[in-house]
Amino acid sequence: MRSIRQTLEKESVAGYMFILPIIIGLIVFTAIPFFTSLYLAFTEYDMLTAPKWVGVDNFVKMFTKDKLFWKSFWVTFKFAIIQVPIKLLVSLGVALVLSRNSKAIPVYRATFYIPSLMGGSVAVALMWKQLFAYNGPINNIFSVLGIAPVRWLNDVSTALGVLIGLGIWQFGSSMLIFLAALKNVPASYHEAAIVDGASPVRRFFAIVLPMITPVFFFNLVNQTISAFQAFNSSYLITSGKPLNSTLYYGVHLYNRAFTFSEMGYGSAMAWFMLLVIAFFTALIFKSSNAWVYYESEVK
Amino acid sequence: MLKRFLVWLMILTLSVGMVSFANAEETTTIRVLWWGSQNRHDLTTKAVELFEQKYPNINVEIEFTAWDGYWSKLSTQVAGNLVPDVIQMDYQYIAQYAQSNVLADLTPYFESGAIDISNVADTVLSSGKVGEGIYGMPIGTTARVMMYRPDVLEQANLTMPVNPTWDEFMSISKQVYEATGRTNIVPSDIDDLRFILRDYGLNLYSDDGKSLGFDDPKHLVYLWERQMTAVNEGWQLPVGETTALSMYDGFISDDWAECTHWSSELAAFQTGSGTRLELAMYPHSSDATAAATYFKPSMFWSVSNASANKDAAATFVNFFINDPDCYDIVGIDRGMPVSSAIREHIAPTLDETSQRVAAMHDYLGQEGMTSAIMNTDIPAHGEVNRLFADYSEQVSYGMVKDLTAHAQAFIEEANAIIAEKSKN
Repeated sequence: MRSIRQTLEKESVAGYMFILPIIIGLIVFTAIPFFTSLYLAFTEYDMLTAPKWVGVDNFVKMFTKDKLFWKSFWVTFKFAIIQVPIKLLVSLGVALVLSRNSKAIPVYRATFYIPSLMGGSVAVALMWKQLFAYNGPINNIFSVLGIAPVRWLNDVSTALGVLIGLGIWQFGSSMLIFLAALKNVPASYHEAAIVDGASPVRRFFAIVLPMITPVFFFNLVNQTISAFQAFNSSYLITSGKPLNSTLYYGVHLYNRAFTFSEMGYGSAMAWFMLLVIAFFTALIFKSSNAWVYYESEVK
Repeated sequence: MLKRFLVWLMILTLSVGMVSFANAEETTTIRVLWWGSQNRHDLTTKAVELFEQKYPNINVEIEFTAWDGYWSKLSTQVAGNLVPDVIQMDYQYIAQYAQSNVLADLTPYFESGAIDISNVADTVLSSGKVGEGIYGMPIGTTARVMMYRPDVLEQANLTMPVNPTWDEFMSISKQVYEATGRTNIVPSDIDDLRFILRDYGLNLYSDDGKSLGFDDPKHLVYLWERQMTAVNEGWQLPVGETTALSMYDGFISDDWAECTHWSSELAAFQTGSGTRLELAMYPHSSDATAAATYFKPSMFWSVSNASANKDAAATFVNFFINDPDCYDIVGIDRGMPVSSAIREHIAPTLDETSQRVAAMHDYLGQEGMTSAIMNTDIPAHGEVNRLFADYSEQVSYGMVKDLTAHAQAFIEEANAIIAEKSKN
């Protein structure tokens, strides 16, 4: 009796109790599905009947038979490689503007952050769809200016660009992180540089940029991962059209798994994407030695 | 003393337990799942309330979604062993679910009279047949039709025959465009390919479900050429230039006719678009050798094979097929009722729109206007449909020079997909 009580009163037990909810959540919603999908990747599973073990068939089919697999992979790759750098530059740019001190700044910060608050939401994607519809506001402005309307969402040359534009517009979260980093650059460095007669541009490249490289690195990794996992904008705005030019990997996976009831194949696709993301993340980590500067580091 | 008190207490506790147990046994709870529009949700919810009043010992939990997402919701529930007791089922999926042992055979309930089928035609009832059993009770019938705006036709001084050929349809569309500037759509989905094939007694898939049901590329070429003609003559908008924002807006913004809807949807489209719409038959080829139009069970009620309360579920299904009070609420929302007694019961109460639907069904009910419904779709249908959409998209973007070769390529690729999926 006593020993139980003693055990319960230990500080570590209290700690475990506090993190128990999140551990249960992690096991139920992350760990179990994670390993289940690993198992399913080697099966054929239509959700109505029990999964059937098929070995590596799903992967063979993926690499050799499914035309849209490589197509969607390429679309996603293109999407990521164009969107991520632009988005990072835009968010850094906006963060620089908003890092100045002025009374109106808090209002601006909130305003610029709103698109990201609603970022994942369906409403923003649908609004984007209306904006770029054939008789939408963008084309209306064009017609006032005497420019012929553009079939934004139905032209192979523009559709993916519209979706990338939406992604870039949702720069708020990385902007906010940049903003915090900019605020953390010690004022004394700036003062010293000003005394030495450094121009603002020089100060940015010589002091600010090196100081925020760790945050730049963090944003780069995060944005790359989320770009590879993109789903909403294609699913809601173009459903992969026209001619599959906006068919993200995630949408193709969803179609396979949920529309064609091929859960096993969908799981295999998900695991391949996990490896691809791991590869690119590792690449960024490896490269970081060359360009990320940590103040505490002794070189 | 204390001992006696305890004995009494135990007896009391036990009997209370028994009573509450008995109560629990009396009320059963069933879950019912359906898809539909907001209108259907409202009507069905009211009908369910009436059912609970009439059968106080059955408690109904309702779940509903739109068609989008319904099938992924249901398959997830199946995977998680949470199948609702009563499931609204579609013709396209019923074979798959029945063969996967998800649905219960309803034949015993027909035999016991729990579900009364004395007023339901055998041809209608057999649409729920999979193998030896009947796994779905058809709720209503519907048919693919053309909806058009009589006011636009009037403006152009034209009339639409009730049973038009494609040539008539195309020439009327061209004249309407010249007179009013209103456009039309040559329907070109996989279901429209199905109609072209049915004109010649063919089906999309072969009877054994192991290949396409046709090998002549001319049917596909005809479908695509028809569409290109319409775009070239100006009376169909090119891809991406339609301005409708919702499915109902088309009748307002661009089109004066659409052939892609079901007779049961007339009320929804009239309300949604705010214009009066008339019905005509889906057009047919002038050299057609068979009737392409068919009556389709708009949906079924199926009972889960895993349900612990199949009797209560059957009571619910029976209520929804045979109870006149139920139909006073739901009307023809799920298509023309399958019971002839119910059809008679609601006929005088139908509003003008529903009467026009009923009249169309009477017209189609005449000898030779329709032919039997095709087999249920094969499991590979989703993928074949997707492939067809890709091939058609390439045509509509003007990327295809040789339509015959394009059609041939589609047939080969589709057959390969079907063979792959049906080998196990």
